[in-house]
Amino acid sequence: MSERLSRRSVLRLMGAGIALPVLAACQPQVIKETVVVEKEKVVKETVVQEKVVKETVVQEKEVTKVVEKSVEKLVTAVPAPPKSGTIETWDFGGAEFEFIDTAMIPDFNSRYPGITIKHVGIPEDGYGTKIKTVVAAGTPPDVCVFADRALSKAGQIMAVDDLLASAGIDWKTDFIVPIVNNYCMIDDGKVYGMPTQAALWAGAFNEDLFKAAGLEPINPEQGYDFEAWYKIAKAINKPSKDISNRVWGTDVIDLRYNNNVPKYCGEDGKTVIGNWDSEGWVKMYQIRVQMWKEELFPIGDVGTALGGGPFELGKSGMTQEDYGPLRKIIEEKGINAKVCQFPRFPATGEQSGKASVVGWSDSYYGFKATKAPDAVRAWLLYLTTDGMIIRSSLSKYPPINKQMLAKMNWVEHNLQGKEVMGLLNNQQVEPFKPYFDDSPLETFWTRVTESGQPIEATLHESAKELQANLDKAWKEWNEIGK
Amino acid sequence: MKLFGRKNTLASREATAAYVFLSPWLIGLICFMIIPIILSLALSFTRWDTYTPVKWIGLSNYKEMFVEDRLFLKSLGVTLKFMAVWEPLHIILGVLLALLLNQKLRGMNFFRTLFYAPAVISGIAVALMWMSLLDPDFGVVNYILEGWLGVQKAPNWLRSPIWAMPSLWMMYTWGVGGSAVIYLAGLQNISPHLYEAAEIDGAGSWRKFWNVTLPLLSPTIFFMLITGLIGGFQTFTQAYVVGGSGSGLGGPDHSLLFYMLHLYQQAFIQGRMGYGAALAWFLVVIAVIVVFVVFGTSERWVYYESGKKA
Repeated sequence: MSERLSRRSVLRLMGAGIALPVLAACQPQVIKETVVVEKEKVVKETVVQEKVVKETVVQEKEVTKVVEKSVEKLVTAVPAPPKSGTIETWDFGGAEFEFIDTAMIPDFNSRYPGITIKHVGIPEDGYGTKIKTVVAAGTPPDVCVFADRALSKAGQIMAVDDLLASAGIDWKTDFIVPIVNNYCMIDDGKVYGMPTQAALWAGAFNEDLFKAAGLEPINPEQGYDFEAWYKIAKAINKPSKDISNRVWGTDVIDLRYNNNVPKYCGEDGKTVIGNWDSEGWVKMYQIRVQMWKEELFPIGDVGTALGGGPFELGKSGMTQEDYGPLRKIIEEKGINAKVCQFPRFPATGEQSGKASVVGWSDSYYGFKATKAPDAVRAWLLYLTTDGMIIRSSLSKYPPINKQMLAKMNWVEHNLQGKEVMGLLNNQQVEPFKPYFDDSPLETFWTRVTESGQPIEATLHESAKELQANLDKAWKEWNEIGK
Repeated sequence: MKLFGRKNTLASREATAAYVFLSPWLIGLICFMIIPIILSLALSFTRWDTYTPVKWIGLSNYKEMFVEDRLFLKSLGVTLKFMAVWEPLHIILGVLLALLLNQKLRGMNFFRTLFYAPAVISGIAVALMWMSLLDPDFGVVNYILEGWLGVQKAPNWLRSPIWAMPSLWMMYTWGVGGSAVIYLAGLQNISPHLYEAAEIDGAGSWRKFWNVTLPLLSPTIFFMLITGLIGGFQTFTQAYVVGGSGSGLGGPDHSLLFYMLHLYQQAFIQGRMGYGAALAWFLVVIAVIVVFVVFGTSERWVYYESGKKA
């Protein structure tokens, strides 16, 4: 037998090598779904006035089983697969992004075997500085997660509106719009970041602690104000010198993400004075300072002393948390936690119906300087379509694409799915503002707590500092690209 | 003439050989020190965010520093406040510790090692350790203050704008063993004959210290003062670790916003490289002025045994 392959064999192998991945790419995706397989009727006898009356009562007994179901691939049209290319994709690495190597790259390569994806993890602490350094050196990665939006303004990032359109995706109807607006765009209306999920950052409460304190559970669809938050915290709080017996009313909840009206930087994202230091905020801080004085929330590095966060150990009535970690707290720590909104001011009009939560996404950005633009576009599109299915099943976060949500029956299959989607769909769009030095938010808090300065006067003073920083940031933002 | 020619050839060959051997270091000095220094000076007159091309803006960065940036003076004040206490403290404590370690007692090597050990521990590890010790609720320091010494309300240390700086003084003073070892070397260079002569003249312990030890140790003190001042202006590591990150950088109410932290925030977090370079050059100017002042006063208090400056 000849050691060399014949010409015919080579052609056959090449044909198979091209056909097989194409066929694999054309195969429908398989997801698992719970279906009803049978119902049964039950005949029931009842006695009516000493007569036996046979009554046929249909009781539907549902027997379910998990079946594998093929669903149509979401993407109807994709860019022509590039023949080859090597691209480098950056993210924070570690366990959080392990799935890129273990699941997504192999799946992507089954569609695009000629493209090599080099996955680089950069720890989050130094990520921003690293990006700045490589951009300055003229050697940015091809794709990165969480790029500074100034990069888009500076013309370094490719817009992806056309890419989404080419795949039949209208982000204004198919995606959860506030997430795209808040995390993937700048002030020119174009989409630069490719969203990959719909992560929810919201409040959460411990239902068992609520019951023990005689409190009604919070309805996630309804907002609640700071007075209510204070009362809840006061009812649950159990002071104790012994930390093992200590229970706090609530964890600290960051105010920047609340659906507070007026917003601390105004509806235009440019006006602090008159907004952050308005009457509502003063009243809210008065409540919060009172909560601090009464030690209703843990201060400092309590987690190290406890060996875990107070909420995950059942030692705090409320917290703010991402949906993914919240699920771990529920499933692994056994805490009876339920998702809810952040506390906020009472709102009127359109704002009153908006949820006080934050939906966000790991968004990926393609650099224009890439030497393999087609490969980058293929990878970006994959991340927001079929890759999102893999990511969603592994991370437990819902996909941002509403069609995908429906096809995966995400709401039915995931913990508090209905509540989570309700909040995500009802969140507000935040006004765009460039990255700026918001340290006056922290220094104000120190001044009114540790230093005991008066709230209203200090808030006015801090608002001027914050306004100056925001003005400077906007001025520099407007200079970018000139 | 021929003789001179031969000498020149030999001398020039030797000089050439010397430069060849020095060249790796010289090239490194030029590429990694001199050129970046010149470029940073040029950068201080520009606006550069690393994403867009460098743009010349003249003196705008310096104008912003003095007129608009309210954290510039605050950070300078924090740095000077830190140095005003830490410099004398680390010299006094260093000398005292060196005097103790200079005693001829059994086991002194063990104590010298013990006191020097903190100097070899990384700044980050030191900061993390002190953050734990100074935790207002769970730290050992407050446990001792409240539990053993009966203090009613122990300080909030790194959470308090008032106590954050004293916390840092404590943290840096803990590493005084490093400078004590240098003073110890200076002490051991003092000839014992001078002490004998002083004793013969009837000098007691204090007189011997004041009239023999201190003057002869003054060059070492002078050296430590200069390096301490330069190091003080560059204080960064521990302040960065304990001072929080993000919006909290610079500690409670910016009480730990050292000049280098402010520079780091402007250049690497805000992405304002040109302004960061301007801040850096202002620091160079300030440090040079301070060092020149100290040099200028040194003739009055630094004693060189040979009568000549080193």
